[in-house]
Amino acid sequence: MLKRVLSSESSASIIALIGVVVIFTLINDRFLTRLNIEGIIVSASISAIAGLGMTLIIAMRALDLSVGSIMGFSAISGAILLSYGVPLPLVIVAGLIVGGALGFLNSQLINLLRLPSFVATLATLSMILGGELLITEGATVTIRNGMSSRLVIGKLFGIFPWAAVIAAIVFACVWTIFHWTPFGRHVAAIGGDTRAAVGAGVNVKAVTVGVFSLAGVLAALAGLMVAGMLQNADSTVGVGAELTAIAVVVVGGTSLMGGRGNLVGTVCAAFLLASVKAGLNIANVSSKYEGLVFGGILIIALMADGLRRGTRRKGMLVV
Amino acid sequence: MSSAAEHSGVAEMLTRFRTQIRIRGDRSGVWVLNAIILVFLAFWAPNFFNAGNIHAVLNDASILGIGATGMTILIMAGAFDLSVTAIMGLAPIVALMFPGNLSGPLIVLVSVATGAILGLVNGLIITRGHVAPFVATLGTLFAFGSLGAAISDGNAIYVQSPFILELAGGTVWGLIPYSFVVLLVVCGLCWLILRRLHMGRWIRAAGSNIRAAHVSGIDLQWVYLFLFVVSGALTGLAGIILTGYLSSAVATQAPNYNLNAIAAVVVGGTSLRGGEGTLLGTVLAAWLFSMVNNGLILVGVNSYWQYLATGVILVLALALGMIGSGNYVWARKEVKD
Repeated sequence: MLKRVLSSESSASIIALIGVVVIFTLINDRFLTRLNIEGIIVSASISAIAGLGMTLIIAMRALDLSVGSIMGFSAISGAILLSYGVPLPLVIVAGLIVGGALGFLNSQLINLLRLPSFVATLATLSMILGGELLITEGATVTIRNGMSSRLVIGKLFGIFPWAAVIAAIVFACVWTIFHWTPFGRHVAAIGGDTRAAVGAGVNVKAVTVGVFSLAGVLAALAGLMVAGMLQNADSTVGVGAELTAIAVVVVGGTSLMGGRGNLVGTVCAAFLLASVKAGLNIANVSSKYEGLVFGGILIIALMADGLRRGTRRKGMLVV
Repeated sequence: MSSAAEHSGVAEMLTRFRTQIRIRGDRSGVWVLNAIILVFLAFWAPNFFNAGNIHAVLNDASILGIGATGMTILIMAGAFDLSVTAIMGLAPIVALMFPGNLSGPLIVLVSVATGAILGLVNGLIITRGHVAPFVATLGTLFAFGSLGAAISDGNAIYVQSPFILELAGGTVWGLIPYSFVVLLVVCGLCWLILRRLHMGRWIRAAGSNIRAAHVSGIDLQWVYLFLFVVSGALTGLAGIILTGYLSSAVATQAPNYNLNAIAAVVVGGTSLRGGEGTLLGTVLAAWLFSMVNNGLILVGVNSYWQYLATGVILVLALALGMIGSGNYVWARKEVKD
């Protein structure tokens, strides 16, 4: 059983997570306090949600660079709607629809214009960011809605942080979609071998629309949660989040070559990242070094992954 | 290319024009857009063509272009370098903080060397550590960025050397910035590498079919090490020029440089799949982005539209390229790959 866990694709992130927790607890036992753990869980849940969407996209051998911008846009939209007094449930739905629409836009650029996903989402990254700036005019939108904050940081039954509950529900949905529906299998099929998938009758365009829209919705959800947590939103929300999401997916064991998606690994990696950030914070290490640590973990995790897969050959794995 | 000529007399004329000056259909996007926008500017913002303004635009374009040229040959070999954003900040900071009172030219050299060393780190992770370039450079993007922030402690490091300030701001004949001259030299060198040295063939071979390249005996490790070192060095060069232009080095002085460089490469007509590419296209694309950003300001548009414009240009250029190559989905007569 242990062997199976160790050789699974998410082993790198699980081991790293355990290692990190141990190291940081040894450095400063404040690491294991409830407050810290809750903070980690909230932070990890949000990045896990965005990461899960990205996992499906990467499983399809595509990339979505606009995730960060979609997060920001939905955060801003949600904040503005709330400031106009729109009730929260409606705001949430609207925000998710906005995210889905932006994801749909991505998919159309890819389908109609036959742009590679890298380029299409690079373009939308810019366009959506521009949209954000035009709407906010560079200002920050504040939210005064306690409920939205409680839905993220507060706790269900006083024990489980809502953020984690939401993340768990999202995980269950995405897992079901990916592993138990034909759509999910098609996603992996397209990523594994597009020609074979086309030959087998997979509707690549429809699946593309589905995957990117879903990723958009999940990114929007993450953005809304960030806005709720911080009680404000501006155009810096989500900047760079797409690269972090890709890093989380990759550390979690999903290969950029597509064909498979490791959802559990993504969640583990999200926790890993959050733990590292919190641990560095508690160990009084300047947050400037976060990048160094996370970059190092990313590279080491992938070197280890290459070793495990036995794909260390002289020719390179080039994406 | 001939399928485009099937459509109409105008298209046929354009095709012949294109063939004569050897612009490939799928790379015509950047030419067309440049032409359209230049015409537009001639009418709506004629002060674009002032010497001082052209100087600024050329400078911007050159700084992006120098790094993008390195990125072009990397992409032609089938790799990416996402860490250039961080190198743009880190290399000049290291050069400016280097102990000992270094003269201007030496500081530039140190920046280039630092970039080269950082590129070497990238190359080693990829070739010896067997990590895919996309992910490896993603990791080094975080790591180098963090280093830059840590070393500079978040402060701006001021440039004292008049040489660097002159390099970044000075001009030839009052119009052409030195940075553009540097860009031309860099392009010339890269052209030499691509078309006159064996390395060029290896690069294109690696980009088209890496297994075939490996099996035919090309030392891929050396090729990629070389490429990442070159990319890093060029980024270090671009970085110190930008620093000179801004008179100070900040770790985050070139936000999104990696994505902008890749955008320039792609808009210029180089395929992300690798194996072929155009240096001229990259330079034209860098100019295009710079010109559009500048033009928007001159026309009096809110600077926030720049982001929108960048994205739209990216899409337009590629869509035009698709139409130009006869590959556009609505015009397809037969199923193309």
